[in-house]
Amino acid sequence: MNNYTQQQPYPQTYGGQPYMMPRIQRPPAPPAESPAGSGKHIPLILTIISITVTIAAIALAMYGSSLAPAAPSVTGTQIYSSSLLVNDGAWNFHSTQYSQCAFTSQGLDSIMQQTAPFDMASCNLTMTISLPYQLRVTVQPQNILSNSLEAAVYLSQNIRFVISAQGTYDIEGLTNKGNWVSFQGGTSIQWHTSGAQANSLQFDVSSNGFSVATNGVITDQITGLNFGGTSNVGLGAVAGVNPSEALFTDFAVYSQN
Amino acid sequence: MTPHQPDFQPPASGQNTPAPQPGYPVYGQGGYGVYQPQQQYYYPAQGGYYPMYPPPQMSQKPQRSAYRLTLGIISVIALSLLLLGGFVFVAISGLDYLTGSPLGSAVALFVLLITAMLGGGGVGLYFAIRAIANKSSAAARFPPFYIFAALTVAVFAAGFAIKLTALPPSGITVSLLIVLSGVMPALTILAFTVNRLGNPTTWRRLWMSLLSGMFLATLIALILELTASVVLAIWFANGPGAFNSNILNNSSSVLFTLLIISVVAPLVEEGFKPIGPVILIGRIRTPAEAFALGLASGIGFNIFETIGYISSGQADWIQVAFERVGAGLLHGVGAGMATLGWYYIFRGKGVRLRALKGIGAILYAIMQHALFNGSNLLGLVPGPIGNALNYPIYFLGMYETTQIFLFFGIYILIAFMLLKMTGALRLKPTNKTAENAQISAESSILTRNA
Repeated sequence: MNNYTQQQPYPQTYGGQPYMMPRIQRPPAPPAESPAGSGKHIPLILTIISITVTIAAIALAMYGSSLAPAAPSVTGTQIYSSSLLVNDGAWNFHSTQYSQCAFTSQGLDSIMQQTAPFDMASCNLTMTISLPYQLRVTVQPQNILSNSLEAAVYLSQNIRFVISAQGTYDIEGLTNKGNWVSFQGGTSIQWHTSGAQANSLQFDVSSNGFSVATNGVITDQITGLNFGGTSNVGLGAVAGVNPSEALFTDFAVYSQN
Repeated sequence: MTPHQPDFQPPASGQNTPAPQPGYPVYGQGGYGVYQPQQQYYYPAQGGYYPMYPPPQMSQKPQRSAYRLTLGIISVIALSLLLLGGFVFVAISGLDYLTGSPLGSAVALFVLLITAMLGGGGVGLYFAIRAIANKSSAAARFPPFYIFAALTVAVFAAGFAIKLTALPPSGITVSLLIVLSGVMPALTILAFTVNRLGNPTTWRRLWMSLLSGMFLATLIALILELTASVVLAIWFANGPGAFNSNILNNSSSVLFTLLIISVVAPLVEEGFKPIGPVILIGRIRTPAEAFALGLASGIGFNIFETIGYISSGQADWIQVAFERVGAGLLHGVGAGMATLGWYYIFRGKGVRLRALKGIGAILYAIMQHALFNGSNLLGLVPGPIGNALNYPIYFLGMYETTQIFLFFGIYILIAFMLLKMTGALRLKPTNKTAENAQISAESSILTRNA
């Protein structure tokens, strides 16, 4: 039996039409969704984190700046100084088919075409320097060079410091087979890489090692080397994949004896 | 008894009668962004009457999609590898610290990688696991963009202050500031875009897009660009002649560099930056979401690339950061446009001239990138153009040339493009009530479908 036959008729509310679909009102909108899970606090959290991290980063950098180890000041007697803009006769040029050195109006220019065994400094200071001593020189920027900047400062005949336009450096020693091998290296955060600004180097050399400072801040130091009692210093360039070049100015040596 | 409550009895038994359901939300369910009230009302299912009218739709639990599940599992594996990579970088950094060889400002790149791999990968893994578990994700909402803009100014002010007044700090102490000099401008652009578009996507999708741009797209671009460089180098060795991409003093070097930066890089980068959003293209619902996800992916790519450049700047890192302050616009808008193009091509059914719009958007991204990169070489043009661009200027401790104005001019043009695109794509509520309704609807839908 059909249950529907027993049900009450609909009230006649719509023009007397029974069984007509009652006109319903749209139910009221429910309250807004609970913010839980909608991430409404995330912008605030992001703001707090961003501000906190920024303040911490600025404070850390300022603090780190105050800790930067300044290069030693000038001590001892100046035994040689030159702008390297003119040939004063104190330099000996060691030119080969791979390397050359020349005075230019912009400084002492060294070019190395390619690497060769027993690479030597192409520009050698003729005087012998007794240890300890301090050496200062300025390396001119990449933008005025015709080749890639790879500067080398020879602190003796078998120890050199090499630095690139990107501030990557190596302290190298010459092996008996004529190869230069890296003792240690890294990257100097004090080095200007923009290509428009010159960089200064300072070496404080003792009998068993040296420290190097770039632009007034100590970058690295090494011990365990044997310089003996005297050194022959030189300047040059070190070739990599491409020919390299280095242009030097403002060279000075201070003896600390 | 009210007129609306017919007095009839439900069948006693034996009938397949749906159980009374609670009221259904009145907000639209068939796509967010537009307020769509329910078209089909149902009779309130209160006890004591028979629901003879169209029964209320069952409140359904979101169905697990095989596509989503697969993506979730792949994401979990990839993000686990990313986390592992982060730990490897921690080990490398620790080893480097122990051996004492300074990294200079490059330590910032390590900081970024470790932070992004461990932090970003960790958050991404959380999102991926929740996706597999069929859990929802909230609508992505950023703080107002001017907060990030103000923090950008603070970071740059500190950077210039250090450069002008103090000795350069060690790499580790300045590394966080270097990272922020790349991240804050990028977040400004991302926050501006997502908020202006009306928050069209979820945190999960946004985060995954960002990570895909930062790690997947950069990896692919690195491999392809290196391969192209080698192929071109071999070709040059046998054809145009020797070149040195560092010293642009002959035609071979200029041509080689032009091909790399204005052809290879735009094609590869604009082709692969949107890889994350394109994988999601079947689930992207609106052009605004496509643009936002693409832009997030481009911003991820930009953060990695820009911090790579800045961290090679050493004492001049703030100068590099200044030069690249708008790089997020280049990469972000480019990837956003490319993703929008793919969206029109794959999902633009009903859109007039969809193929043309799609290809046009992708071509725009490539051309924008090619023109920006190519403008780097304009200074080599002899004559008045080269002279005008090479005039040296010195400010805030930076040695620049007038070419910097060209770069910033292009940044402004791209910013204008971003303004126009976000204005055209953003959700447009008709009034305040609709806006509120829309926000609730978006939240509701996004949390269900993300």
